[in-house]
Parts: sequence; structure tokens; C-alpha cells
Amino acid sequence: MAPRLRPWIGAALAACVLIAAAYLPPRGGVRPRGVVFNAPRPSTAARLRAQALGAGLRAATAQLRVTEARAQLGSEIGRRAQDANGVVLLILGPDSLARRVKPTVAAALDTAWHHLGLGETKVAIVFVLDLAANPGSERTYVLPDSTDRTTCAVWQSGGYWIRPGHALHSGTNFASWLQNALGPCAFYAAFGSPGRPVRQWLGVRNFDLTLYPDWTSTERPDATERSRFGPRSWWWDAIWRSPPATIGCLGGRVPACRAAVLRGAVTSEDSGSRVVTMEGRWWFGQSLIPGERYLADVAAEIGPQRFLRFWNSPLPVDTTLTLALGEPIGDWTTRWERRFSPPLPLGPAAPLGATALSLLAAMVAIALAAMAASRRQVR
Amino acid sequence: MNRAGLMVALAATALTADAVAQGNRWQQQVQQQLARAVVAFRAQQFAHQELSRQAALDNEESETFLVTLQGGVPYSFIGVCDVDCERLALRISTATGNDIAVDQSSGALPVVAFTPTTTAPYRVTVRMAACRMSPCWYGVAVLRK
Repeated sequence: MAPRLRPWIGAALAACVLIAAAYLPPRGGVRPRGVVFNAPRPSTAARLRAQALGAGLRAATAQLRVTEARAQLGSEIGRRAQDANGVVLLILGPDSLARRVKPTVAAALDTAWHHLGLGETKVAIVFVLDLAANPGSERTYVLPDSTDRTTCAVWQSGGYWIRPGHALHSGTNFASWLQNALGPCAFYAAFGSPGRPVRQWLGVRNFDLTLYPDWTSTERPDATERSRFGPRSWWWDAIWRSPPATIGCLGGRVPACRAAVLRGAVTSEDSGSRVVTMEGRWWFGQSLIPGERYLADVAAEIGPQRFLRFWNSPLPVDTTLTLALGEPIGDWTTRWERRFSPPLPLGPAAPLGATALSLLAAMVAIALAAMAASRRQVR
Repeated sequence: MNRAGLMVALAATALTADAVAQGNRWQQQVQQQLARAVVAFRAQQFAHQELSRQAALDNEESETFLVTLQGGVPYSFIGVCDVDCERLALRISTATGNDIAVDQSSGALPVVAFTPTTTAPYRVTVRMAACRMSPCWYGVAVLRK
């Protein structure tokens, strides 16, 4: 190889490296596995089966505990519902801790109940706060069905918020945590049991659109939630694990938003299970980001009467939701998504930084070539 | 008794019905309505109350229960439901499932009159045909002369 060729080959390789660094995905910069606590582990078949078994065991345990709690409470549930105080609280765990936290938790639940505009409801809520739960347990809902149409039970572990040996949290975040813990049960209390199409649709999706039942707030989302999104803080771990329709909706594509909302809406099977279990890190792989507040925002926008007609309608979900929103689902959802984040850049368009870097590299290469050409002497 | 007559009778007996109200307000509505209906039908010679049943159903759900009726005796089946209920349907059939009497109305106060030819168990099916907010409470009373 001629010695004069080496610098050119080196320059070409360097330019290739620069271009590769700029263009090769992921553009958002996925963090290396193991550096952060929430780095996902590889999903092998054995791991998936173990996770499914664990989820089943936790759901069964939670249902058993709720059943025991309801038996223990007996007629208290009916009496409390009659008193227009729809939440019946039962705290499991060490007596001293239970006695200490009960007034605070009861007051926070009462505040949440009134904040949601609830009074006497057809469906009462039994809130079982388990302070002796094993780590990893999060939250389980036992929804009303034909064996008990008037009680919706929440089983909630103390988790981070209530721990032995720690001071009890209070304030807005604690109250929000408890209110969000009511989840789909709050919808059942406010709007009754859903009609068959909505029940089937939500059952297939594990009631993911009803997890944050705040249909009264005027300022949504708060700073904490916004921090999950935005061009400087895209949560790439969550985004790359989301279905294509979810990412398309984040990118502002109307058909993708419609598909993300209507996932599971065409099923004909009625979900047999009345138990809905929320695992830790439930937000990974969401069908809609942030879907946990979607139906609460729909209710807030269209009002309780129209939302009740949608919730209880015998019509297919796409029809009744379109009627309730008064416009195509995809259009409304795309606009709703923009409240949380700017559009996620999609498609083959080069990012601004990468384009600038490439142009710079090209300019340097041209300049070097021009310099070499100007010094070249023909003999 | 036709439906208009029943409504008038219910209104007339509204203040005299001696309902023992229990449960939430929707259950209380059903208890009170059923008590008034029974009082109104007693004035029409249906003196004996054979059965009274109250429960909750979600929209478009139905429930069936058995009742033994005596041959040759006129019976009246009365259904009532809470304020969120828009349509309640009542159907009487044999134990093998053949329909004998059906309330043809489209309201929330079905009434079925039926005189069985033989003494046998019969099936009473209650269907919550339209309920604005589920579940809706209903009550059914079976009266005989």
C-alpha cells in the first residue's frame, strides 16, 4: 500500500465511525443493562412461565385475603354503604402499625372519595391494606361479578409508603397514591358495572385504562408524570418495549392512536377472571402511554352523564366511544397524547445532531481533498 | 288489573304502604314499591303472597327461580325495580322451559296474570332489559287469590 494512501483510508474509516455513531439505532441512547435498577432481564420461556405462575399465585392469594376480609367485615360493608361512606377499610398486619396508620389512611380515603364526587354508591369498595405483604406484591382488584354485584375489593400492599419502622408519609403524593389505588373500583363505584362490550374490552387489557381514576383534576399531568416524556427525557426502556401502535401514537399518527385505544375491543370472549393484578413495573409495555389515566380524562372531558352512557352501552366500543367523544377516537386521542409529550420522531428522518455531524464530516473531507488537490504537482 | 289501574292503585296506597326499609336507597325503593304493589293487589282479591324476592342484576342479565303453583288457582306476578331501571321483563315457563306467560310491556313494572292447569313447579325468569347504572335492584312478588 502506498504510504500516501494511508491518511485517506484512515480519514474514510473515521468518517464511517462518525456516521455510524450518529445514525445507527437506538438514537435515544438506551442505558446499558445492569447500570440502572429497572433494567429488564431477558425473557426466556422458563422465566415467562415462572412469572405467570407467580402472578397467578399472587392473584389467588390476594383474592383469598379479600374474601377473608369480607367475611371478617360481615354486615359492616352494607352498613357503611348505607351511611353513604362507600369505602370500607381493613388493615392487615401488626396491630401496633395498623392502629398507627388507620386514622391517616381512613382520612385520606375519605378525602379521595369526596374528591371524586362520590357519595352513596351502588357498588361499595372494600379496601384491604396489607402491611404484612411480601415484597413484590403490589395491588389486586377483585371486581364485582354475578356472585357479588355490589362489592369491588382492592388489595393493596403497604409498599414504599407504609413500612414498619418508617414515618408515615402524608401530603399530596400520599393522597394521590391512595386515590389511584382505587383504580377500576372507583369507576365501578361512580358509574356502576360496565356494559358487556366495555367489560370485555377492559378485561382483555387488564383494565389498564382505568388505573388512575382522577376525573376531577383540572391540571393534568403533573411535573412528575411529564418527566417520563419529552425530547430530552424519553424513557426509552419503556418505549422500545411498547407495541407498534403505542409508538405510532406517541409519534402523532392518528390510525395508531385509534388502534392503541381499541386493542381488545373486538374480542367476543367475556373475561372469565374477576381478579385484576397489577405487578410492579406495570407501565412497561403499555398499549397507550399514559393509558392509566385515559378513561378518567375522557370522563373529565365529556362529563359524567355522557361517560355513563358510554360505560354502560350495549353497543360496540368503537361506536359508543366515538359517540361519547363526539369525534373520531384517533383524532381525540392524538390530541390527548400531545398534552403529555411532543411527537416522538418516527421514520427515516435523520436527527438534527446527526445531520449536523455528518455535514461537518463531509465539509472536513471536502476541505482536505481541496487542500490535497491544491498542493498536487503534475510532473 | 290493567297497568293504568295498577299505577293508580299504587299511587293511592303509596302513603299507607308499610314498608320496612333496609339496605341502600335503591333497595329501599324496591322494597317500598313492592310493598305498595302488594297492597294494591290485595284490594283485587289477591290476598295471599306466595313469594317475594329481591336481588340485583346488571344490564341485560337475567335470573331464574322456581316456584310451585297450584292448578286452577289464579296467580299474579308483579315486578318492580329501582329508579335507574328502565325496563324489566318477566316470563313464566314450565320446568322444562316452555314459555307460558310473558309480560309484553316495555316498562319497569311488569305484571303477569296466569292460572296454571296443573300443580307443578314453574320457572320465573326476570330480565333486566335496560338499566342505566348497573346493578339495578328488582323485586318480584307472586300473589294468588
